Amino acid sequence: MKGFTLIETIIVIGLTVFIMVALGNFYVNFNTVLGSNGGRMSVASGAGKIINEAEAMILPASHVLSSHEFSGTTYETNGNTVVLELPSINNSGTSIEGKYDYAVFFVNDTTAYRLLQTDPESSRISGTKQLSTEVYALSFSYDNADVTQARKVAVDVQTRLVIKGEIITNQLHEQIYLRNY
Amino acid sequence: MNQHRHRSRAQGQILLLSLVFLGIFLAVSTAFLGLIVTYTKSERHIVASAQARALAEAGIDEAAYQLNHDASYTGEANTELALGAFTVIVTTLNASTKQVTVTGFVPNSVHPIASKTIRVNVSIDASTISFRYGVQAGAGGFVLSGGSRINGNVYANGNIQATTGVRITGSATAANPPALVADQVNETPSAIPSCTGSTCITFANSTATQDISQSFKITTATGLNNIQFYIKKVGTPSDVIVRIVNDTAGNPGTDVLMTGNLLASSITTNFGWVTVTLPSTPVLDPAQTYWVVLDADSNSTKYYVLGANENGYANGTAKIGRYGGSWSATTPSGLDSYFRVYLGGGTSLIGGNTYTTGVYVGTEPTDDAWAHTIKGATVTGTLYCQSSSYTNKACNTSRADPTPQPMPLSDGNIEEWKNDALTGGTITGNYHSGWAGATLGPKKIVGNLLVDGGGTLTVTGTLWITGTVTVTGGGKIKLAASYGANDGALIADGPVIVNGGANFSGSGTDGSYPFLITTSACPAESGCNGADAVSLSGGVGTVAIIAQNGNVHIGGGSALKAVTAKQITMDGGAELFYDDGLISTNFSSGPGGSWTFVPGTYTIAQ
Repeated sequence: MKGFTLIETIIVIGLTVFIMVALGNFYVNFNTVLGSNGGRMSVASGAGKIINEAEAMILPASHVLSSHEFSGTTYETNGNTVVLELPSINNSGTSIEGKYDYAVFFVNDTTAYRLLQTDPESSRISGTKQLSTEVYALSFSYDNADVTQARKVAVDVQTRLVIKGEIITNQLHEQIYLRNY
Repeated sequence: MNQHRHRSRAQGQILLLSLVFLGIFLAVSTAFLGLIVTYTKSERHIVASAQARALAEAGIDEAAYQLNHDASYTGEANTELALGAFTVIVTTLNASTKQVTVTGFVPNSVHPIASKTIRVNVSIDASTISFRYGVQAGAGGFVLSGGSRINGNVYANGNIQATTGVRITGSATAANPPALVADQVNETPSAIPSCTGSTCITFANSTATQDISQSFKITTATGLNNIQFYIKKVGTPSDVIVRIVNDTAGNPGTDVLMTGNLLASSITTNFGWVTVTLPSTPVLDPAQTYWVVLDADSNSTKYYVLGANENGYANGTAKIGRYGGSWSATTPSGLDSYFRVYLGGGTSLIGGNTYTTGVYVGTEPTDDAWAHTIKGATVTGTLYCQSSSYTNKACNTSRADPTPQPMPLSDGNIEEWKNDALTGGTITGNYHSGWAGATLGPKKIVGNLLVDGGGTLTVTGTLWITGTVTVTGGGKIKLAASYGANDGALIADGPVIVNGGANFSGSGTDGSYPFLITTSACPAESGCNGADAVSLSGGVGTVAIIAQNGNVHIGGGSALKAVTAKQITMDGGAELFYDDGLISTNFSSGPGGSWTFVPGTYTIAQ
């Protein structure tokens, strides 16, 4: 019987440690990159979702309202909240004269929401929609000091995540005209 | 042997370890790639959706453009534009409203990454021109004789002189004519080529400048007859409520003496004098100051601009603010708006003969005669008057004298038609359409237009003739089929002569009529040599004649759809038929004639 020599054992252990460290480091870096990119996608997706939803509501809106009550809570239009009045639509997508739906966009802490209150004849569905949980800033500005006279709403959204000390942000800005003003 | 066996068992450990790490590596890589692919797809879809929406909105613009060139446009399929394509479907909802559905596809409709469908209604401007009366005369009133007959209601801002067995089958109303000269006026300089701070007052564009008011004083205690403003509009604002109110400490008060309307359809995007519809004619006190308040809605893109000057009117001033709220001085202060106030110039008359058979009014119990004085008349309904003689009934004095009604077209309306005609170019020299006929329009003709020889002139757009228009010798003028249910306009600056079996017709679709309009003031202006602004004899078909500055003479059994003129003269057995379809009429071009998006109908269908 001839065993391993000390040199052989040390070399094997050394090589094993080296490989473990190399692969471990590779895995950790890979995981960091994966997490970072996942975060980038998440903040971009959150900002895009807010802009898309804002487009979907502001474009067909007829007026910005100074305030409106949604389920007992009154929301007021200001720099961080916008309340909209939209002509209701039927199942075929045609507007219903004299009937209106109401929408509000606002942010609570880091979560952006869109509330929708619809007319009974409207095909839109009432409810609360959570748009993003990574909101750093959400602002609305108007082309008229009297918001009820506004024809254009500028939406600026910034989403942010901190992953392992790295700050990841995304910012989108869009000016949207009220087509039904 | 055992040593070799141990060695071979130990071999492969590194391979195993490598496989484990390789597995981990592949799993993480797969997840990473999956995330990237999902993100990329999501981003591509978001961008493509935005592009598809932009394409659909481009399709809406395309539909409006096409409709304004051809009202029979029904849509188009797979029109390529930029990075995608769009499909337009136009559905007719009624004569003046169409629904446009446009779907935008990116990159194409066969394999779209994204598609968006937008639906809107487009309509001929809702502020269509109203012809409330089939036969309406201005201050010159009617001069009817020779057994002439009008089938329908008539309205005059002056006398209806009818003395020799004339028949009016509907109601007849004669409002007191205005004085020939305005009692109060501010109109210097007479034209405003472009606005400056001291030549224009903008109102109805914000809550602080929503309404405008102008103070004035009259010279005699005579009833108001007519108020005019020099005004233009921006966008498509709604009608303006006009109030005459008292003065309270230098501002408009709350005692309303009269409320009337300034119709948005009479106001164009160019300055012009527009008459206020007065429902009553209050008698004002010459010793008092009054305010005329223009009360409008507030909208930053749909508002009005009044012509103005600095301290041009000695008996008052303009103020800006809000009716029922506060008023401020204009900026700069001391501006006066352009306006004219006419007082009643006399009392109106229906009839004029000393026999009850001078004029027959009405065929139903609801067909009334209404004027200050009625003389020599047989009326089926009620005689609303203050004095009567040689009538079959006594006066019913329960109604005050009727108020003058504004003419349906403003100078601005006619100017818009002229501009529309200019888009098709200019023909210099006289234009003759003979036996072979012709197709023409839109076009300005610097010269005269003659249609004769039994040929047909097919009108494909607005015509503006700077000289005379003569349709004779069996000549025909008809609107092209592309007009659909809309009306078309021929504008002449000179006199119009229609005789010899001339005939007019619409597009063939019910409700479509040609409007023959002249701005001529004949026979009153120089150079007329006794000619009328419009002279008709013989059947002329389905045409509406407008001569708001001059006299229309109808003779020889003419049959028309409607006529509006400063004065209307009928004799020789002329007959006129009223058409209810003209009460509110749509033109395919010119004022109120463009297809535009109807706010409130924009929806994103998917």
